Amino acid sequence: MISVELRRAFANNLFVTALAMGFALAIAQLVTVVVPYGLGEEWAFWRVGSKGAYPNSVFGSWMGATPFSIWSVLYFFVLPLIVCLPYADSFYIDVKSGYAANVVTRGGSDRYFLAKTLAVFLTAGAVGVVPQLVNLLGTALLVPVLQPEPTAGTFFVSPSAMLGDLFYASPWLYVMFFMLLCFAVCGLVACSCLVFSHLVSNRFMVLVAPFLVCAIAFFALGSAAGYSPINLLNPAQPYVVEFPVVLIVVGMLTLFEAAFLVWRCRCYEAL
Amino acid sequence: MRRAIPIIAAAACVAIAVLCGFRIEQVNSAYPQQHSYVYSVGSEAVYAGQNSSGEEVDRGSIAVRALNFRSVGYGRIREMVPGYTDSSIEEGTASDMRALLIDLEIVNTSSDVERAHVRDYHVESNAWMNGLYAPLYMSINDDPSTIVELEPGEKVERTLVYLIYDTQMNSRGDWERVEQRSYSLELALYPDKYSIDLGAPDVGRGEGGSV
Repeated sequence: MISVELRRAFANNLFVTALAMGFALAIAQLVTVVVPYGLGEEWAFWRVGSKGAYPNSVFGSWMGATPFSIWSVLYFFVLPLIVCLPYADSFYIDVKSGYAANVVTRGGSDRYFLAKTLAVFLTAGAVGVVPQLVNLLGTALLVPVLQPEPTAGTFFVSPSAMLGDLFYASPWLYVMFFMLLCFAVCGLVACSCLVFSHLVSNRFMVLVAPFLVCAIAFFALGSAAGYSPINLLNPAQPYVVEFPVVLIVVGMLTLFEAAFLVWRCRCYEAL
Repeated sequence: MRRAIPIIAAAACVAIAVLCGFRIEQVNSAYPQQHSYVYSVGSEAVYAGQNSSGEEVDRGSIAVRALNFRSVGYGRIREMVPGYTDSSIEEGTASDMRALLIDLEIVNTSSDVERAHVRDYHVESNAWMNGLYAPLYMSINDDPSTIVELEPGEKVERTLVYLIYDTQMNSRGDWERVEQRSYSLELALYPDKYSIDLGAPDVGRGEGGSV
């Protein structure tokens, strides 16, 4: 059943559409920020290190490090929406169409819910991370891999940022950490649609509900706005968050979704 | 034909990976290999590179020696510079601060007049860094400029001032350990990095107490 769900999730037009949207924003950032850094005449001064300036590095130029670029901002802002596009509403559709009842009768609700959750989680994680990886590779083709230096003043990760010290000591580890965090949180955001499928009875609302929650959190939480995925997944960290709090928030969300899905799975046959 | 498709796809992936590798190597080889020179407190440090005015500093033409490194609180810095008020503290943007003071000896070891741009010297500690706080530097050293002009063989002493605020740390715990952190004075960054390892600041006579 897992292979069937994975095939339905990945071999579908909405998955390609969501990836294409991510790629479009990643390439737009490359064209507007990285190409001028690497080839533009206006940045030649920095590239040769005039007046002690530190040349632009991959770690300060890729889309996860340029919060001043509208394309980076837009990417992380719409991320909770595009990760839900490929498959997050499929549970709602399966229930409405009767497909879920058919499959559960033949294979059991445990296997169906496990396969569904895994497929939703993996498609969302892939849509969240793959465009960033492509952007990072594209940046490395134009800009050198120079160690981040706080004294350079051109790197956006501040000392008050979560794992800021790690960024300047081991930038690849920092990038890897944020890729993993992005994969996990995008997966959790998309899996929340499985919860919303039970709470709202409109396909469109199921799909956009996680995005609305993230956007409302981002605009309404004041000093805690950093914990909205819109900010949290951005490695540049425009708003400061604390690592232990992030672990608690992500852990609680995971537990809540897991508990809800287990409960829903147990009750499903009775519906 | 169907069997050939995966082979063609795999070959294309390998070709793209090789081309990307070549391009990354080409981009990186265009930038000089960086070297890092680290000196200790009390030893003579030299540096090279362009200063912020675009003048070339020849290695060994200016020698600097860190004599002392200490941290003082807001109250102590106000005693040192009467009339000084810190807007971040007074307006409540930050609730605590320290001033990191470095006593530095600067010597012109060349046979020409040299200009040491002390404003180009930065202090860093892991992810944190700050530039010279010019108003306090000028008051403490009674010097109207952050550029020290030195005759051949001339030696001067200056106290460099760098401010650090609690809002620049990730957590309260990080701030409470701010005086146990290790700091370094960066003299030049690119193409080669020259720095003096200052270690943790001295916190004598309760000077580093909170605001």
